[in-house]
Parts: sequence; C-alpha cells; structure tokens
Amino acid sequence: MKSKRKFLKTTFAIFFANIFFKNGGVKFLGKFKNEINNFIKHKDKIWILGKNDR
Amino acid sequence: MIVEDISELKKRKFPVIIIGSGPAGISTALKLEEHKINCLIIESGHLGDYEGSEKFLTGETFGDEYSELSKVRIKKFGGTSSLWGGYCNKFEKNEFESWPINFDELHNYDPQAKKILDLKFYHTDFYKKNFSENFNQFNIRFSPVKFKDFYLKKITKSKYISLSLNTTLIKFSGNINKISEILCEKSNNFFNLKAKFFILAAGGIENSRLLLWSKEENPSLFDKRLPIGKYYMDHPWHMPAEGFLSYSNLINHFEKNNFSRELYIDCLPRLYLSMKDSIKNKNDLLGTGIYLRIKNPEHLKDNLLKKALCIAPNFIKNKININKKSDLYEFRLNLHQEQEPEINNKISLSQKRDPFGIPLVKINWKMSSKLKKTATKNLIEFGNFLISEDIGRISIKDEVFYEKNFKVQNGAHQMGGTRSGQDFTKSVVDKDLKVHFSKNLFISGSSVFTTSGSCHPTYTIVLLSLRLGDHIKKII
Repeated sequence: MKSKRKFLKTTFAIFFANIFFKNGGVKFLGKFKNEINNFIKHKDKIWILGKNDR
Repeated sequence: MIVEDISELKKRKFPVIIIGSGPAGISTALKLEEHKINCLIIESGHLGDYEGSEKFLTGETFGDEYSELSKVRIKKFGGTSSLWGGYCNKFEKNEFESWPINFDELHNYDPQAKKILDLKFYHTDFYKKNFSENFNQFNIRFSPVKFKDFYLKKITKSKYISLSLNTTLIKFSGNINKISEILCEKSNNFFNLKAKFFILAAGGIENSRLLLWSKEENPSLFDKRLPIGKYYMDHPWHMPAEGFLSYSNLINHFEKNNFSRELYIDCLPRLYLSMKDSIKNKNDLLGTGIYLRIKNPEHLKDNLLKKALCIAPNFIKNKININKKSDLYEFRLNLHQEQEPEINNKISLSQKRDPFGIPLVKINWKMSSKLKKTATKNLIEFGNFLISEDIGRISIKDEVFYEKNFKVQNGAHQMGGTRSGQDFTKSVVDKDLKVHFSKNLFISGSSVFTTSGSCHPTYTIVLLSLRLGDHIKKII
C-alpha cells in the first residue's frame, strides 16, 4: 500500500513539475540518478540540483 | 655564441648537435654546458616571427575537430614556448606506471627544473591534498620564462653552446645503428653536419615528421617495427560547466576539514581539483584536472541572480537569508583531460609538401568514449559535492552531459609520436630517450611521453631534458 501511494505521489509530482517547468522554459528530466540530486534541463544546460532546491 | 657562417659550422667539430631550440633543446644544452660539453643548437626559425613560416607548419587533420597546426606551432628561437601560458605542474606518480623512467629518479631534477623555469614557491611546493571524499586539490605554479627572451643572452655569451639560426634539418643519414650526419639548409645552401650524438628536440609533431621523412628517404634508417608517429596525444581543454556558489560556505569547507589557511589563500579564487585514484579506477576513468575559476570580484549580477532564482529558488533564497546576496559568486569550470595513447591517433606524412619539398603532416586525432565518460562523471561528482556540502550548484553543457561530440580546444600540448618504452613495437625511444637500435640518436620533448597525464607538459619536458643531458655526459 505504501509503495502504491509513493508511486502515485512521485507520478503526480513529475506530471505537475513537467507542466510548471515547461512553462518557465525549464524541462525536468524526470529521473533521479541517485539520492542527492536531480537533473533539470534549461536551454542547452543541464543543472544538477539538490532535492529541495525547487 | 651565435654562429652565422656555414664554413665555420662545417669546420668546427661539435660532439652534440641539438635540433630545435624550444624548452627541450635549450634545457638539454644548459645541462651540457654545466658539464662543459660543447653542443650546437640548430634552429630552423629566426629570432622573431617571419612571413611564410606557416607554409612549414601547416598540415591536414582528420577525426575530431583539431586546431589549425600553423596556429599552435612556432618556427623561431624558443619554439612553442612563445605560445605557452607558463602553467607548471607535475604528473602523479601512478600516471607514470607505464613509463620506462622511474618517477622518483626523474624528480631528482626538480630543483634544477625550477631554476630553469624560474618557479617561485612562497608557501608550498607542488602538492596534492585531500579535498573531499572524491577529489584531491592540487596547485599550479606559473613560470615567467619565455625561453626566447630569458636564454638568448646566456646562449650568446656561452662558451659551450653554439646556436645557428635559420638552419633547417632536412634529413638524417646513416643506418639503423648509427646516424652518421644530417643534411641541413641555411640561406639556400645545403650542407652536411657530423656529430657524435644527435638530439632531436624539434617539437611534439616535428620530431615524428622528421623521422618519418628520413625513413621514407632511407628505409633502412630505423627498424620498420618502430611505431613512429603513432600514439599521438593531446590534452582536450574545454569549459563545459558553470554555476554559482556561496564563497563563505566554500571557506567553511576548507576550515571544517582543517585545511591550512595558507593552502586555500594560495589558490583561491582559482581551485584545481582532480578525482581520486580509487574513484578513477572503480569507474575506469582517465585523469582530469578540474580548473574552477570564481569570477572575482563580481558578485552574482542581477540578471544571473534572477536566472539562479528560477533554477534553484530555495537554494538561492536560503543563501541570501543567511549570508546576504554579496556572498554569491558565479564560477566557470574548465577541464584539462588526459588522453589515452591509442595507435590510431597518429602523425603521418601528407601528400602536400613544404617549400623544401618535405611532406607536411597529416594528423588523425579522435577523442574516445572513455574520455567523454570521464568528463561527464567528473562534472556530476563535482556537482554532487557542491550539493552535499551546500556550497553551490553547477550546470553542464548538454553535449557533455550526454557524452556527444563536444567541442574542445586542442593542439597546444602535442605529445606522443615517438613515445618512450621498453617494447620497441610500442615505443620509439628507450628509458634513456635513445631511439631503439640506434647508438647515437636521442629524442627530447613531449613526443617521448608514454602517457599524457592531465598535467601541463612543460615542467616534465624540462625534467626529461636535464636527465638526458646527464646521460650524454655519462656516455660521451
């Protein structure tokens, strides 16, 4: 049950994040490569950000 | 002294002739002078630049985008050191494992090399110290020496060093065991010069070119199995990342890890890092120097601050609340990458010829997928370090992040082509920098590098040249 809730939460988070970032000219790459970072595409650059930076 | 007259060149007997007056040639000559051994340096260029020199230096390049060769080579007294930025640092000991030369023995020449390059060490010697879980910090020293300006007067006054400018080596003559003489050109006159020993120090590309041409003219001159021109290397140099950081948090990191104040005052606002061997070996990566330059004294400008707020709003707001806006700095990050020796990266002779009829060079040069992977991995790990210590955030060019064909500056550090080694099928010179099977032909300069490492080559070139000078003294 817990993992199902977690899956739904992550899916919704990625869905809304995509809408938001695309509007702002920022594309969320949609995958976490490890524990501490996530990757955001902005123009021709990939930003390595902390999980709570946004 | 400077020798102008051809008849005097022919009349005088020089035990050693050095071909080329760059850092390798001059350092070897200075060592020979110390041992009171007469030598002649022949330099194909003049004291200054002259029109038409590019006709000798140009060539064709294939593979990844490479610099126009006439822009990264120089034909004049002092050689390519005229283009040099003065960067000096050392190979790591483990980068020397495949060399036939002992690392510690070579570095016995450190004091003399520092003197030749006029390197000043106010606080610390060259060092490599623990910086974080994955990175070491190293330092760089800048040499003020332009060989042309620094050593012309000394050579002109020297009793033991003779210099003949505008004198071009056309080819070697002799057999596989011994070079008997060299054919030279000076002021449209062609003549032969004899010596006991010949030292080829004409430059990273030119050394291979002259050997290849001499071999084409006389196939019995060198063993056909010698890989002349092969294993050519360069240091891809590029700026694939930038970002912003909190200066006070960076200083906190130094203080938290008990770095001496001297250590970070010594380097900031530039910071030089390299990945630790354990991480490199685990991920099968090459050596890389990370050169971080904090844009000082400009703090994060308003337009960049807005961009940063869009990218990482929580990080920026948090830093402004705690440390104020003036603590945020923009930084640029360059990579100085090792290139592995590959047989397909090579110098060969082109169909096109220079004004003397000697073929120009053709260079095949390509960056491997391992080199690209190394760049990406270094940047991601550095980004993770900035996050874990809450120092800053980094952005990477997407072509580098996705390991595509990224653009680099290259051509400045021409290495390999006549690399040193024990196995004559994979190397051209032995541990004494003597061409395999020859008794009297030596090569000096970056062309003898077995591996490229990720450090700047000039310091090692000087060390090798000094060691060669001592070796000549032993056998003369």
